[in-house]
Amino acid sequence: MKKWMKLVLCVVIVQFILIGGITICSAQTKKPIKFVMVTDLTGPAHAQCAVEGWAAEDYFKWLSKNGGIDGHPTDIEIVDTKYALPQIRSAYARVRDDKQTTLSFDALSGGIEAMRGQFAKDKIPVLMITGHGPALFPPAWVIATQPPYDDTLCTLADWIAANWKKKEQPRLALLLGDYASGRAPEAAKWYCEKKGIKVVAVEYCPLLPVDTSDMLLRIRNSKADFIFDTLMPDQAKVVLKDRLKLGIKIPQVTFIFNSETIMRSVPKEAYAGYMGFQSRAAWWEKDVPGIKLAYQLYKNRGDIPPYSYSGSLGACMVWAEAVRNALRKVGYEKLDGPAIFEGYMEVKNFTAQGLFKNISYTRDDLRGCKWLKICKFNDDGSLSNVTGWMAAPAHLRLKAEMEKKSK
Amino acid sequence: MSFPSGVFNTSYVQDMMILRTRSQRVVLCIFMLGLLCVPWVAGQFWVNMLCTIATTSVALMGLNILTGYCGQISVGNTGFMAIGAYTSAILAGQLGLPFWLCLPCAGLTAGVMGILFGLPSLKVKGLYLSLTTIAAQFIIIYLIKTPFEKVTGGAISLDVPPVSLAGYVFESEKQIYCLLMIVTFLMAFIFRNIIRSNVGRAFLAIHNNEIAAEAMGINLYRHKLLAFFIGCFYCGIAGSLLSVYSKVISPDDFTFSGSVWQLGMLIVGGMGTTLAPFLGAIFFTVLDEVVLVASPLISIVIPQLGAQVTASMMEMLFGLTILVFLVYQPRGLAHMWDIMKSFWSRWPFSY
Repeated sequence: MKKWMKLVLCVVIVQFILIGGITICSAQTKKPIKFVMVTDLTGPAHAQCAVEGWAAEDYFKWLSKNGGIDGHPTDIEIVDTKYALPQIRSAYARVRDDKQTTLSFDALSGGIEAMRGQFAKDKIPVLMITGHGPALFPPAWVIATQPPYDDTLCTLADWIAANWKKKEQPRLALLLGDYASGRAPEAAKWYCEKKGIKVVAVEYCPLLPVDTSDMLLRIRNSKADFIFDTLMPDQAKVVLKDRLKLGIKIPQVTFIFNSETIMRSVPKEAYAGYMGFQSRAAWWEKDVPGIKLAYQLYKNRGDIPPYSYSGSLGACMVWAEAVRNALRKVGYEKLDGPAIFEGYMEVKNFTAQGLFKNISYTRDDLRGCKWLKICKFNDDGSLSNVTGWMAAPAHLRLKAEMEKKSK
Repeated sequence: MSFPSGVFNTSYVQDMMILRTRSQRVVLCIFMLGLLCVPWVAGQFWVNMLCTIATTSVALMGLNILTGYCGQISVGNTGFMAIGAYTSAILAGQLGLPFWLCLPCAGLTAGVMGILFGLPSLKVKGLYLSLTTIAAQFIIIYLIKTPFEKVTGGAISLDVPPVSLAGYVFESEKQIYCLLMIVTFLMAFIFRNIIRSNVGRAFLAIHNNEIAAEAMGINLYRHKLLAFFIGCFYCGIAGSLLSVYSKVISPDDFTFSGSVWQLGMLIVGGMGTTLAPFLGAIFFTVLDEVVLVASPLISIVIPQLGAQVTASMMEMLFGLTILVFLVYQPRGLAHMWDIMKSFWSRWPFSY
């Protein structure tokens, strides 16, 4: 065997011995609680999901080192499913029956929707780190930490309607990412029209675009006053550069304000004036204790924690809080799906160290955080709030009530 | 085919039999019964894995007929699966048709679309034909997402009602698993017989040399379109089975990368052989599961690497696997299986 191969083998054997030793030592302390995050680390949604996976990894390792949950260490397992349904099902099937294991699904909108029924049948609460409306209504065993994206569009409609001063009807264009949750806001068009806003264009941006000039030109020709987009970072940077190239100045508001990623990948002239929704604090709000923690945990990976990172961090805090509530109520041996679900129901007025305005769950509203604010890039590249926290209407509930009334 | 000593064919019927000896028939029956009993002895994880293998195998059988036997490269397989899945879901959900009608309709719709997109095969070959099938993939998904979204649900998923056959509703995972296995066995039986028929031999002749095949009297036009029809029919059936198993379908389940991977599975399985669809599906499904399990474990053992780095390293495995097979074993797992069988039958006198 070659020398370098012997060296590698020695390193691996030593690691195994160390892990074994740690396991034996930890057998004398409290037993761990396993957190399994099913996500997409290498597939089409990796640009957002990988960062969220890092946050979960860093947070639970930090939590474990800092006392865990009431002394129980927190083991985190990140499972990469490449956004493929068979792998999502398989990952779920593997951990479903494990005791003292709790699940979260990240940015797998189609997968979550497909498996909603299974979660309800198995009575396993699953934390959804993104906001896909159809997975949250009717409320079942899928829990979120932010309003879904159709609620975000409704919030924008409320804001435009409240602040519109001109006589003509405001005109809104939708530039939607071509994936399940990206297109979900389209269902909220009726709400915009109810608020007196005319939806004049709907364009779909592919997941990895090269040129979006055609969509932007059609939006410009539709004479829209605002653009609402559901673009992932890889899409947003192409759109913003094309806007600069074409000289389009229509105010654009994005559903998730990945400001840090935009700043790194797009010239200042392109992102000046770009607005976006935040459901929690972001990297530039450094006074927030949760953001300070985000900087601390992210320091080995980079200098500025992205918006998705702090969002996932907040979601993990909610997750841990729910498990803590369940643990205190039923004890370690009886920790299971229904107990953790009740743990979520006990989460009231939780801010996750200031990251969220307020997270509270009730049985008929599992959105968690129901507050959004609009922030924007100023001309000098700095960030500021455009609005304070606004309550996000529960779009699917309102739609169901409206349909019930009309019958 | 080599037989045990003392076994001779004395009639044409015997010569044409797929399962010539009693022991072969007994082994196959035991194998099939064993597979059907899996949900009662193994956990949900194994049931899920076998269902994935079954649906993938049916799709790969179609691709094998089209690409492996007839030589028409297709990289739009999952698009045709989407046609089958949505046809089956819409007929069952919106028109209330029973499953025994939805399944063949799904196959027929996909087959007809296959003929439509296969028309360029009369003029173009090789890479150019693969481009038309890529176009088919994107056109089909676009049609599902946008102009027909009121029927298909667009980019949002479409619920699939439970399967009912003669009043019996297949609701539980075990029931769906048994249904999937029975349909897969049936499709495998038909596949084997297509390959052995004059149509299958015509496909092989076209694959080997189109000009010689035409000179022998084989109608290229008819047989190429027939290959597309049969191949896409199988993909439609696979899509229908997938919709029954998943209970919810969306366009995100039928991606272009899925089509490329299916071609990779067929290459690793041994394109142009009967076992290729099964071996390729089993190999890649097991590899997927190994990666799903190993990746978090490696990040625990070597925490310095982190989850994403280990997941990316695992991703490389897939590409490396296909490369290794193309270089060292281009005839795939089926050929390796043949070598193992002949070694065993001749052991210890393999020389």
